Amino acid sequence: MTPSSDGWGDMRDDGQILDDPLLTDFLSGLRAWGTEPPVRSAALTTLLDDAGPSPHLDPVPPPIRRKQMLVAKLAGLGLAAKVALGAGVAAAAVTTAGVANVLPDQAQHGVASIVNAVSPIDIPDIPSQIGLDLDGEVDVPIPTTTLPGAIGGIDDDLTGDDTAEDEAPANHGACVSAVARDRGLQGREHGQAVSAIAQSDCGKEDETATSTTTTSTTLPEGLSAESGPSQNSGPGNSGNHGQGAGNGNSGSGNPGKG
Amino acid sequence: MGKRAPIDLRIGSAFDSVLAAAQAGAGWARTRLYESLAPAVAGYVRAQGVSDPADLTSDVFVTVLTRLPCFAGDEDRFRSWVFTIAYRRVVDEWRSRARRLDMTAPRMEPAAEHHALARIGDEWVAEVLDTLTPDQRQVLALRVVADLSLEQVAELVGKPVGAVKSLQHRALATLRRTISDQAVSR
Repeated sequence: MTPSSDGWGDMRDDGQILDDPLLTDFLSGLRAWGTEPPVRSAALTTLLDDAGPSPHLDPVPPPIRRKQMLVAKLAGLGLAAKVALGAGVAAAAVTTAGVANVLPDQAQHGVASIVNAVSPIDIPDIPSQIGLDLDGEVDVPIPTTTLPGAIGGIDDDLTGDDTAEDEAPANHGACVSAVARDRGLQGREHGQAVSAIAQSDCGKEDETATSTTTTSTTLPEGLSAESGPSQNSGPGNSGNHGQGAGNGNSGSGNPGKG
Repeated sequence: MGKRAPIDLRIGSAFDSVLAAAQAGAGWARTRLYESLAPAVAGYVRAQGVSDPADLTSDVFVTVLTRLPCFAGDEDRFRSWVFTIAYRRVVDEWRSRARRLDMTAPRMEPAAEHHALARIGDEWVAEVLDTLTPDQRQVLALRVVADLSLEQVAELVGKPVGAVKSLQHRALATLRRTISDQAVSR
């Protein structure tokens, strides 16, 4: 296009409008509409002011996108991983509360007695205040005694609380059963997931607190490799029992032996 | 009044370097490209009677800047390319409005019309423009406001140059008649 071929110049030059002053006034008024800078939208302002890369590029994900990615990643986890993650978070929270000495007296004692025994962490204990005999059996129905009873392999005499005995096993069993029924994993991975959840404290109300250190540190390994350490660190035989349940329900793996 | 009066915002000989900088992501260069054409695009969009000329103009330039890395050509080609995007957005606006209101011709919404009344003469211009057919209005705005040649308009609207010239001639004849009638009635 040459400079003489633009619209306004053409129309003026070819005499179409010069003979009519009213028409010239009208077209001049119309042309004046194209002289005012318009108000910019926010999106356009961002594009114009951005001194960074071309708008075609999408360099760093904004915070909201990172959040969405995290949510999507969590949503994509298998049931076993979600349960293990939840158990680990809960266990860590109770351990923290125990270290801070803000738990109820009985729970504080339960947490302290287990954590102090299996970890280098020193949690304050208060046996004298709740009348416990540390040399003997527990004589109050603290949560640490309630957990693995009905699943088997634990000494029911330790619990001394029928209610807890009825509830805790059902919850833990439900956890293990749910993972065993989950078809998101196959073969060895499925067996390992069942084994890991069986050895975890999922569904064990206060046992979660007593085995916090073990659970929170061994669960990730349990899902990806051997889960042996948790078997020995927990009270009683819950680990072994959980392994048995995993074998029984999965039927497709060899969870205990990995 | 000069040939491109009242304001010539063209970049001129620096266009190639400005375009290259804008395609590389320089904010100042993008702003320069925007400022060279935004008023004309806004005037063209407004002449088509869209409900929110400023918003549609922003949408046009968001598209322009997003597709800018793919563009190649001189300033005249760039001008034609930008108005092609604007033209398509206007046509989309007409179609969506026709679906909503079954209108046969575009017309300013009350809010936009009220805004136009704030300036002396705008009401008259809008009123006279309403006497044109959509095709005549389109060609007239592309020639007068967008400053495009007959060939560019023909390519943009997908019609032969002769058809565009005929539309322009009929548009001017209609305008002349309308304005003359108004002068007589007053």
